[in-house]
Amino acid sequence: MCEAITEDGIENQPVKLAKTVRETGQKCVKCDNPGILITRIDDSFCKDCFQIYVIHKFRAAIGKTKLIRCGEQVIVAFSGGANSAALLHLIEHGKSERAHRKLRFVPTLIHVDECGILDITPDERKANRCQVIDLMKASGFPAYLTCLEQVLVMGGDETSSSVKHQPTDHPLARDVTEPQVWMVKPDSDGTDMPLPSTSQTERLKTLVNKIASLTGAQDLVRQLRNQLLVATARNLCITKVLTAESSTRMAVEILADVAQGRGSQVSLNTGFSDTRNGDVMIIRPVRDLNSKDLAMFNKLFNVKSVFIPTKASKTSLSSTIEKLTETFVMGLQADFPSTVSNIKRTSEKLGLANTETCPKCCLCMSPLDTRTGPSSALKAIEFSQKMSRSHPTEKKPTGGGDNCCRDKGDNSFQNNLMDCLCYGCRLSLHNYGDDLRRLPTFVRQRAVHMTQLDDIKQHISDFLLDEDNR
Amino acid sequence: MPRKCGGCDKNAILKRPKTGDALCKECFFWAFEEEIHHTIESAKLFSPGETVAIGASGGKDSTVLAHTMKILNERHGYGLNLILLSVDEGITGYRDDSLETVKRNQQQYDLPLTIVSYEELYGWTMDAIVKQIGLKNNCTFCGVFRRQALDRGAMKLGANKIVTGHNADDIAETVIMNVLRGDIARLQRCTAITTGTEGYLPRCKPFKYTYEKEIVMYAYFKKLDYFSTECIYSPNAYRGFARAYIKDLEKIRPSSIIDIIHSGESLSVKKDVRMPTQTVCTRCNFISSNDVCKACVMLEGLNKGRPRLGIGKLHKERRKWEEELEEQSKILSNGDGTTPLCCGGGKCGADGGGECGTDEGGECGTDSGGCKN
Amino acid sequence: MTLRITVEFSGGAELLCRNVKKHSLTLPKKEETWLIRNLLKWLQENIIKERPELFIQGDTVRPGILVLINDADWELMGELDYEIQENDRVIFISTLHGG
Repeated sequence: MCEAITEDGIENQPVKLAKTVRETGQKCVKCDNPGILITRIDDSFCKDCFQIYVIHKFRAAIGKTKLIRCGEQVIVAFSGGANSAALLHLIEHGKSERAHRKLRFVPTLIHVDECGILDITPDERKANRCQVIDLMKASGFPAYLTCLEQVLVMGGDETSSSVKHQPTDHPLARDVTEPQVWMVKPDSDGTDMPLPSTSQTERLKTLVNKIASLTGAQDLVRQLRNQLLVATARNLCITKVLTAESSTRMAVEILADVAQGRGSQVSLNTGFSDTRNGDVMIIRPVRDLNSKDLAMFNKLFNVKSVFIPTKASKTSLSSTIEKLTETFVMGLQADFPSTVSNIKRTSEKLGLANTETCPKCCLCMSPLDTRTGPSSALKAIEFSQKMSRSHPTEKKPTGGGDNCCRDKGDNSFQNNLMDCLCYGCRLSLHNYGDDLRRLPTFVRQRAVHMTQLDDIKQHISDFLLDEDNR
Repeated sequence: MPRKCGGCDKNAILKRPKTGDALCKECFFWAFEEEIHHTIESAKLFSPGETVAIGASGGKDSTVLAHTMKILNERHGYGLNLILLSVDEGITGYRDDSLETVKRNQQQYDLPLTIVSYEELYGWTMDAIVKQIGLKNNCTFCGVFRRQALDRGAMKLGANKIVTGHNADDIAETVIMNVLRGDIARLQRCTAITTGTEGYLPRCKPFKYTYEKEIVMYAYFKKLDYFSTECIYSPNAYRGFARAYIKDLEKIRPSSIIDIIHSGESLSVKKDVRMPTQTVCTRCNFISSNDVCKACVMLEGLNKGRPRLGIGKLHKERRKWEEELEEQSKILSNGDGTTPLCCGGGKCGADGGGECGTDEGGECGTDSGGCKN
Repeated sequence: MTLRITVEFSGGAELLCRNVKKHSLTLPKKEETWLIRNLLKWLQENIIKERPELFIQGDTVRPGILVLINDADWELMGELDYEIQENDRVIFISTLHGG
């Protein structure tokens, strides 16, 4: 293995941190007070200057992009964790009298209760909820609660649902409703909020547990949560959703996305704004702050947060691709302090190819990256599978090229559905087999719609002028 | 009960890392070879009548590559004229031994072999370079020089193309490296199956979708003769991290390697991102991102006893040297010619460390050197 | 002399010690002074009940877990070589996803 050669020799090689312990008693870089924490690479800050720094980073991100209009309603996705608690505090501060310039948007909080996928008792689940509800109530902003089980009943979105307008006895339309939210009343302690029915929770659990790998299960939950947030925002007639990923989180996600075949979605999954869902935009206003900044901020300014375990809590360091990636990135970051910013720099330069014309994945709504040319990883895998699963009577040279056929017939439902998913979602669901039928209605609705569109397009293809040649 | 082969009724002997399917030995050989054929055909890598130089280091990848190219050329009537091309970096105890393997391969596969050496091209062996600069950054020299050496050798032989043994693992590793370094230009091109079409010889990677594990299995079951010692000069720790990460990923989800390649193929760069512009080296006329390409700078540094010229930041040394160059060019234009570096005639492929988009999977180790490992 | 200190775990690090966040500890008598380095080892042997690799890596904390000594960043206090004093408050905050 050799030294990497880059544009300018080895200049791009990240610089290893010389491991010297800092001298104690460093002064704040902004004023002369004693520093109490180190941020970014080597700057020491005192408490007051650190507060200014964090607030500035947040306000600059909001201000610079000018995506949120004055007086606009926004949703703040509030998990209760450290990052979203910090975001909520920053918004509270921005709306308060103390703020230098007041924030002009109007926040509404939503908590998605994901505990249905965990093996905990209803009482424990309620206890978790109550903690989050307390924090939301303390902010004084309007707050709602929903739960991941709602993805089972919600329908496809307005823009892509033709099924919705079909008679209600259509199998896909029968059990569709809008995703429900429950408003948190000022006098509520959370115990009055209804838990989903046991059968719904069981259905959700089965859906997630059908996926053999924890990596795939976590990925599915992430996609479902995002779709639920977007649908809920749509129902409340709000078109912006703020989420609280830190730069550290972004860096981990970028690399983990690449490792999970979601390279084409990096700019959507980790950019400042995510426009894949059409009318509802996801915005990430604290992505210029790292996880240490946010955790320190919470500690120094008594910002309370709740720790709610995930399915991957207490599992080994390499239980999921995400966890492995996090361990990898944090380890590198400790030795090479530019790691997180380098990875982020990569993502800043990535964009989307032909968003307008491209059909979207029925689960995650990112542009389909599976309609590739003959020379591609996807076609190579399909060819490999064909080579290892066919029973050739004699070994004769194959034609090569793009003659990979897929056997239709009994599996056509599965194949159709798989065709409507992006590479990354296919990976997560690849061992689902027949159970694809269990996927939430909204996914199947979108798939039906997409297939219909494709069919119509094929029908009239002779009469369509080729868009590329126009 | 033993698992049955997915291709016939025999007992399977291996599980394919890429798809998890079980195959017997014969079906594995067949699938392995035909998949490479599929890669070659679907990307239209070659045309009949072309001369193709196989970068041969004696290592597993290039040995299996030579073997497979030979088989497929005959089986599918590619009509290619195949030749083996090796670079002798001049590393005692490593390259001299691996070259012996290549020489045996020449006999075994009945393919002509050409060896080009750093010593004849540059007047420096790697041993001599290491003696001067030590074990730090020596791989930078080696990588830059090797890609030029391979080009020069191939051109001398009249080859139309070079094929290298970069496999799926190498490419996935490079994708990760480029994400970690924020190197968008390379990230964009590192998954291309053919690189370097402008200005000099195209390089192709027929093993782009072939897992390293399968290459090793193939070599093992076919009892191919290859050399498996690592270069005696130091490895690059940072690349090692990326490699370890890939290996860990593979344990969690074996398809990760090809999933990463899919990611690399499908990502797109924002339109307003400025890409490094390419120009031509004023010394050797090869494509470069600076006025003087990396290989020329490095060689000049070595010859002037100032080896740090070519590495590290544009520090004082480089600036000082550029001033000197300006002086020199004044003298040159006065007709007082000095000896040009490299070949001076545009033949030397000395691009500044591969900025011409041709650096492959292992950037250093781009090929016959086999030092991508 | 024994040393009385408080150790707190949060951000998910508490999962590894039976979900107890705050621990009032009395460190046993020791010939040399107590350094953070020694404390980590002691915690691993006495307090961390599960999956110590999720807390300690090598001789230091797993990257991504912040350490505060009396509400200040340990990076400003000498890190592993900080000499623990009576009544010190040492806080471990995990910034890692899912704890």
